[in-house]
Amino acid sequence: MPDDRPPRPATVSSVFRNLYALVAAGAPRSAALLLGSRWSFGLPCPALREALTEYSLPFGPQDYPATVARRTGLRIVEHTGDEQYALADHLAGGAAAVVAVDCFYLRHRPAFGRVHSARTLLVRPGPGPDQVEVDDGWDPVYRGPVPWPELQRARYSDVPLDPVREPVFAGRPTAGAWFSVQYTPTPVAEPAGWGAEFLRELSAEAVTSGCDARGQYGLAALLTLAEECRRAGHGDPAARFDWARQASLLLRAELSSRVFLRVFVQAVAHWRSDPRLRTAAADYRQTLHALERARDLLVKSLHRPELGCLDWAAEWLRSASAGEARLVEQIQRLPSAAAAPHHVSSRS
Amino acid sequence: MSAVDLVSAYTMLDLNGACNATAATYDRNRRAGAVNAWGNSLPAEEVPFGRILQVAGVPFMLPDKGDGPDHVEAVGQSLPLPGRAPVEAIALLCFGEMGEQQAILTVLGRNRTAVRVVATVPGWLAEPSSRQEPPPGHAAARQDPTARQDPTARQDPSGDPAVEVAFRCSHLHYPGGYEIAAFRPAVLSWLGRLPTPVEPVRLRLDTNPLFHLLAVTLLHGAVAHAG
Repeated sequence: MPDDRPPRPATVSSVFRNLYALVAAGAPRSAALLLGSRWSFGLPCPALREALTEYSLPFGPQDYPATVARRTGLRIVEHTGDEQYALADHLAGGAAAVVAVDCFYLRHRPAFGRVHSARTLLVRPGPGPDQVEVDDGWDPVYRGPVPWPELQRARYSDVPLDPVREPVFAGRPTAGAWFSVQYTPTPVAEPAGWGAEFLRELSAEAVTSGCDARGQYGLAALLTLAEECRRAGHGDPAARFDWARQASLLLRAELSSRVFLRVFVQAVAHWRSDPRLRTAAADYRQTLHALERARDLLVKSLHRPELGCLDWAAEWLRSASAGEARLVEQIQRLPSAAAAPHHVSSRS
Repeated sequence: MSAVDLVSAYTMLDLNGACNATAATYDRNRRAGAVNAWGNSLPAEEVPFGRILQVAGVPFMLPDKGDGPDHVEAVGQSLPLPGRAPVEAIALLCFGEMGEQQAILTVLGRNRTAVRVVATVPGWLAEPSSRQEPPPGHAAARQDPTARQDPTARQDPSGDPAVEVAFRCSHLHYPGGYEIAAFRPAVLSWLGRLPTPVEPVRLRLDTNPLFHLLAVTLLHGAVAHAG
């Protein structure tokens, strides 16, 4: 399957990086397609944006795990703490998990004892009774054992926000959050037709605009974010900081799922031997770049508010919106097929 | 090439008046760092401020290091260029913040000519994938007693022949008043040829404040083709 590297290594959030590793362990050739089987833009209402973290999943009228499960059979379960199902029990069964941590409590991190900063690790059963094996993909990367009590401290932290030392990935308690996945591949007989139908369904989701008490959805929501961005750039400095921080986290999640969406489009182009779709997938890289640039300018604005970064970020968001519309148009031109979307195959 | 030719082959821009951000801090003032939102900075004692640094034969003049800004973030500036011989290539001493970054540079010339080049460089914290020596053919060095030829220069981690690691620092400064050796920020050199020679008037930087610029050198005549 054709695939080239994401626009930048920093593009995908830690939870997507680690979920990909978990899914790929059981379905190496379809993991990216599974994680890319959602395409909307979710703009939460201000109250819900306060809950955004580095490891937030994309927002929508139906949450990301439910959407992906309905379409592909991949079950991503976000656990809040150990009451319903304990991480220790999960690991004792030999399974791996994606675990939210505060690096302040992890001895292998440069931030240890200095900076509260939240993200996720890939955690596997450890070599000893009181250890886990950790795969920490955040630079500087670390693979090795971590004592269980140390992990537990990192799992239950308030992660206080320090606007100087960690202005982005802090401000929400980790609260024992962790993720598990379950997936049983189902063969697909005719991937070219199946893939085209699947993309059509995704493109329909992308252009379906909606609004409810929780937020706004679809391409219109991306333009709303661009307009909010422009206004925030000329607003109250304290409000601007909070807005930009939360919007950067929101874009982080949206960008992550789109990196995998692009792989999906590339795969379908390959299955169909469709040069036009292949070109569309290549062009979509520029859309990802625009989202990435907007996200990075939002982060930059936290430290350099005087530069006017939010005006520039708004322009990149508008550019990304146009790029989204172009890909939708290309997909909707695909010839129709009778096959209905079904679970993704490990044969993909 | 004669010594006279070498002297006239390069124009090193004086960026002192254009500096608008702080890239490097000394141990006594790490809190003043401002490369990124986390307040990280280069260790100033390892950056040859106010001196000429040669990378792959191209000389760069770095700004002086005072208490204020010490480099340029690209925010749409238009820098005046000395009207000398036609410019055939442009070289930057630079780095990206938050990963790979692009700068769009436009050399404005006499008679309203405008030539655009795009510089793409890796992030300052990208580690090299291999430790190769600089590629051959980059030996045209200006003999200057203050010039520092960096012995550790290596090809850039992205593998782009236009980019080389000019120097890599031994540690990264944090605003909490400490430093970490696990991160070794790099400053890179980038060389791009203009599609057509231009008699220069101004250099315009398009907006990307995540692209950091420590020096600019214009290349004239045959030397632009030597690298």
